[in-house]
Amino acid sequence: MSAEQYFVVSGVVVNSDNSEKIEHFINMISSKSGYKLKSYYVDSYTRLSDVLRNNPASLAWTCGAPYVEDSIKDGQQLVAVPLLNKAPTYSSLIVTRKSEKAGKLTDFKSRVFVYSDPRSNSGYVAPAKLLKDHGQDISHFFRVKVLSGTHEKSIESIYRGLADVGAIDEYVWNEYIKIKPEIVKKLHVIQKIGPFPFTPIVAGRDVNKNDIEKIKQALVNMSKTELQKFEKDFSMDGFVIKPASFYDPIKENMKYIGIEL
Amino acid sequence: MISWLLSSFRRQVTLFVFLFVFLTGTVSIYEFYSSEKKQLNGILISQVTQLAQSVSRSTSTDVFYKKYYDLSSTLINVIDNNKIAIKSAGSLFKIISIAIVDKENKIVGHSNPLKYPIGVKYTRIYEENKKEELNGVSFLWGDKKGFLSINKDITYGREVVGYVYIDIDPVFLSLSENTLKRNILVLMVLFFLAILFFSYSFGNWVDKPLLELIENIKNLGDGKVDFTFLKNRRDEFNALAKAMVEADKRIYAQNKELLDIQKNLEDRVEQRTQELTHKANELSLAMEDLKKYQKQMVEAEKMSALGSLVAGVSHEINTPIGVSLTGSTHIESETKNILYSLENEKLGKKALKEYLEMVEEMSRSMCVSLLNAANLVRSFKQVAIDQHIESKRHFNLRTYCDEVLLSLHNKLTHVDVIVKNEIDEDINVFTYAGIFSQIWTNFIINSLLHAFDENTHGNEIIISARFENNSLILIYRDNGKGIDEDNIEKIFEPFFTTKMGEGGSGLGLNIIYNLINHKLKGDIGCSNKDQGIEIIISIPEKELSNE
Repeated sequence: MSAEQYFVVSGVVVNSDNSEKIEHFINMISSKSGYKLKSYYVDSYTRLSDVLRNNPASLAWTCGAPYVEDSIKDGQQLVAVPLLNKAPTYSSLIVTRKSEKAGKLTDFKSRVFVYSDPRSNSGYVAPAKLLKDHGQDISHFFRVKVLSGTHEKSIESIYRGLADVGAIDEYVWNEYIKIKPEIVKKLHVIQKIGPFPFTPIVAGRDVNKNDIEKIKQALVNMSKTELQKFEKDFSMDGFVIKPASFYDPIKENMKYIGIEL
Repeated sequence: MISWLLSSFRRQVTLFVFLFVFLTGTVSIYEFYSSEKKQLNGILISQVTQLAQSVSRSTSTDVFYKKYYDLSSTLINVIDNNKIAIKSAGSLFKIISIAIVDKENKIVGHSNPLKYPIGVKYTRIYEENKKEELNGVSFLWGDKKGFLSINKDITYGREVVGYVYIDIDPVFLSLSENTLKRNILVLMVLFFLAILFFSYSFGNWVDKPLLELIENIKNLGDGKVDFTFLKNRRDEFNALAKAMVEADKRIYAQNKELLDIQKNLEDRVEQRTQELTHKANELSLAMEDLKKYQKQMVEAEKMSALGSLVAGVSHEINTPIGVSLTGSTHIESETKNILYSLENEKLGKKALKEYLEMVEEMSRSMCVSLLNAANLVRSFKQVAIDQHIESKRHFNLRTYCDEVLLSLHNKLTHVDVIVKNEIDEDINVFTYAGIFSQIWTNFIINSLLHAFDENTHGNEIIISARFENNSLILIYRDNGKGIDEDNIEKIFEPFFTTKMGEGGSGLGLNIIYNLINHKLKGDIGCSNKDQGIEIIISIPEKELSNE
């Protein structure tokens, strides 16, 4: 029996009050796959990549863009893709205050932009690609880019007035407005970018095929009870197995906006 | 106002106490207020200093790395903590805003990012010269109304990476100050009430006794002084009241005695008054008699002067008349002899020629004598008329003087005195001529009577007159023996004479004096000269004309 490995979780799924649910989810994977895991919370994708690089037998729930990069650089392996609204995709939402007159991201030139992580697909890559489509470089388009660390903090930044506009993960937005419904009194979605491949569960380069297969089976073959709990806890519809190429659109976008892979 | 104040001891004392309490109270309260305010300010400064230092420390890393979200979160936490502190009454201030800027003064965090977006130049202006500094924290009062702005460097390592600006509303300091002011106001009201109470109490304590004393002092001496209020006091007022009762009794007794004495005195005064009235009546009658006597004396003097004049004139005309009478008698006698010779045819040519030559001689002599007498009578007539007819007339002063001298010729011919008339020839006047006659007659008679001894020679009287400074100046001089210095001031007094019983009445010069002063509105003065006397009379020119 191998030693207990990390299940690294980041802002793609962690919010301010679901750590217990995440623990339950990790335990479920461990028990079903027999692959011993323990939770490891990080505040950025950089940190997530570091942990997985240093602990290559660990697993992580990451974002599409870091996965694309880390799969190339660190040999991360795709395990499964969660289903959001029955589909393995999600969108990047452009959110601003209702008091703003602007109706699309390109209207916010020289304003303050908030994003969760420079390696976030929905938070950074997607809006950067959109701007580039309009001939703008995200590096100079905004007066200030506020790095919040998580999508929740990005929402808070706009809500408090710290930022004028931000790109938010569709899943996080939907979950957060359930926790803080007053958000929608002041904020609203003005643009939707996507869909993009949803945030995957990945394994380090040292996780063998057998274990990956077990974990995949554990995720895609949850019992009805397990699935109901998962759906209840995470508002997702389970997992599907997808090939690595499923994330090629994100890879293309990253290349498109100038990220070297 | 001042007189109203000064009219009441109570008001003065109340004002004094009020001013004393007010001034000392105000100073004390002001000192207390200043001390409390200073203490509150000290607490405020201490709290905001800690706040600035805390914010500076806690944000330095985020400023350095430009972690806007974390900075924003920190600022929100600071303000939230401030709200909590305010609720628990642990803070004297309310944070209005916190701004964090980088070295380029661009906002990297603000508690109100909507108004002060990050990345924008911080435009708040702080007047550097008004800043105060304490423990590396700058303070600026009144940048906004009543606000306090504080400013602190943010350092990362040793490098200054930004600055924090915090705007403070010292609302709770103000509230504390207001509470302090309210307490002071309450204290002032209590002071005022205390003064009112004092005033009322003072009224019973001092004012009422004083009023009772004043009321009784008005009746002091009538034997009815009584103190109803002060009877019950045991202090100095009571002693004063007792003393006043005693004084009242004593004064009453003395007054009674004085009244008796006064009554006696009044009786005596009444008696003396009656006596004096009687004496006064007697004196009045005596005075009337005296006035009559004086009038009689004056008349007598006038008559005396006139008598002398008449006697002199009579003597003067007696000689020519005698000469004429002798001549006519001689002519009558010789005429009888010539007639007898003629009837007896014994008259020869020689006798007739001698008779005619005698008649011619006698006639010429008689004619001269009668002409002299006629002149004398004419002068006497004029002088006599002037002395009794008191009406003004025109006359030449020098000519009139000559006439008066002529009337006095009888008196002057028997003494060795030369009278010189040196009056200017062109002095013509319109006045009472008799007065001048009386003046010169009186002066000359007085000189003859008093000035010259029988055996002296070269006696001289000079009468002169001239107009000078709108006045006629009459000067009478003699070169006699003068008048004693003791008597010269008295010569114009009535009844003054050194020849009483020798023909002098003592009224002559007094009459002259009155005529000059009252009738002619002039002045008269007499003085001794090296030899003799000089009398100067000054008469206003307007009194000597008919205009």
